Amino acid sequence: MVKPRRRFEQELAELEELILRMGAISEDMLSRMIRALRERNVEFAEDTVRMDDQVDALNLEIETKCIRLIATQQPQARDLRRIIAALKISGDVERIADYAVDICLVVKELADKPLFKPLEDIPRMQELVKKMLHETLDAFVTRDLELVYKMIADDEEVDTLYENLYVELKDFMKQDPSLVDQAVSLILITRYLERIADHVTNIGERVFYVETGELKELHV
Amino acid sequence: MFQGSSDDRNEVQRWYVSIMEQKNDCKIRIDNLNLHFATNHVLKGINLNITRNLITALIGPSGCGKSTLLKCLNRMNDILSDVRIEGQVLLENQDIYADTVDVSHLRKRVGMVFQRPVAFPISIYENVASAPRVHGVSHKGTLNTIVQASLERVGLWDEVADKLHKSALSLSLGQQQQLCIARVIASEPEVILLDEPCSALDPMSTMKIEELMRQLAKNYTVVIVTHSMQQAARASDYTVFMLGGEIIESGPTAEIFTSPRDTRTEDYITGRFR
Repeated sequence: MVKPRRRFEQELAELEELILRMGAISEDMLSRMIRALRERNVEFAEDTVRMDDQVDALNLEIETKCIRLIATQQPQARDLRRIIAALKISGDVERIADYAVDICLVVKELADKPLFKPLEDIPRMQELVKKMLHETLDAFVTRDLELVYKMIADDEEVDTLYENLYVELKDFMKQDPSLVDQAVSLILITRYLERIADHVTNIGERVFYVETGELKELHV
Repeated sequence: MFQGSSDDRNEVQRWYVSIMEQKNDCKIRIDNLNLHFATNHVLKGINLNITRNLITALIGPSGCGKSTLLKCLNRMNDILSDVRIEGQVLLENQDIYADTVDVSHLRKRVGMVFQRPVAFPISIYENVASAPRVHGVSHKGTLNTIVQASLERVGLWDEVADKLHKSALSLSLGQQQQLCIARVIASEPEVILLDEPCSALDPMSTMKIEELMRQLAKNYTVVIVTHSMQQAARASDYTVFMLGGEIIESGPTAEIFTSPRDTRTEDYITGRFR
């Protein structure tokens, strides 16, 4: 038996694999970023920044492939949703990697002095954000929307951590102006992590769209 | 997780690389080909390389010369009167219009499938076996092997294995077209020409034939004429756009359908052609 559109199916599977590869590099960047911060290791931060080139290249490859599939394969229904989702998701993952780069640049600024407070909530935020990204990309290929709902709940926790840290760091600055430089850097890092989590919720919304055909904001 | 295996994905990669790199792996080269029907100049200065093991689509509006060009590749135009052909068509560097060429042997090497399935009103088995028989194969066992292998290759074997001796006309149109492709394959060709092979078929049979073409391109060079731009986009690797007997533009299908260079190509593929 000749199975119709076998080649097209292969290309869609390959598109998903490229997304996963891009996501895996971004997750790796998030892990390295927190290690660079913990150890205040400039070299490690710079290595992580360089990984962004791979993510950018994959983003272009995915975009090119999506354009080609739309132009030549006349995708309909679920196929169309998968391609549009891949296009949007790759844009979000690219932004996530950019934020990881931004964090590494801040880490470089922090490297010359010991931190005035131990790192607790920032690693917790990083862990949550990385888990959110991993599970949401998993949901993209396993079609398991439960993972998306879990991610939305995690995002709320990230928002809470961000708000608390913001208030806490602001108080430190008020009490001791000599901490302003370091506190601003830490606020920037938490802000970037919070933005990463928002991009992950965008990805979740695309996964939801592929599975249900419904475009809607899942973020509460 | 994935619907395809990693082998499948490697296959896609290899295929894509082959489109980008095989530009010079030329199976057929057409050099300054001109064709006149009486006083009518139908093909004008055609130059084209057809790449081995890829699918080349000829597209263009009715009367642009795409079917005539296709028929030049196995000298099907010879049978018409008042035809004058100048220029060269080189198959593996040999001019198929040279005096020494045996046209019947040429058509064995360059097989053809037509718009409407031309199943003979004989058994399914005989439809396929007739091709190797013409070329001198008579041993029953060999014929059986060729018939089965050809029907397997077009994905029809499982559907017809228990009714090989029934009339081919009992098959659906889509199956008849698969049968015609099996008959061409039974001659062990190098090139398969398809002249609007799906225009008489329903959408599902069309998709099957397109996937079949993809399978065939692994072993053969495939050239298809189609008036469906969507089909050229979906199923081909290279696209050649013709207008008024000339090639306006040719290139990898993905490029032609995303960034054509000539506005006439763009107008045609976007449906704005006047």
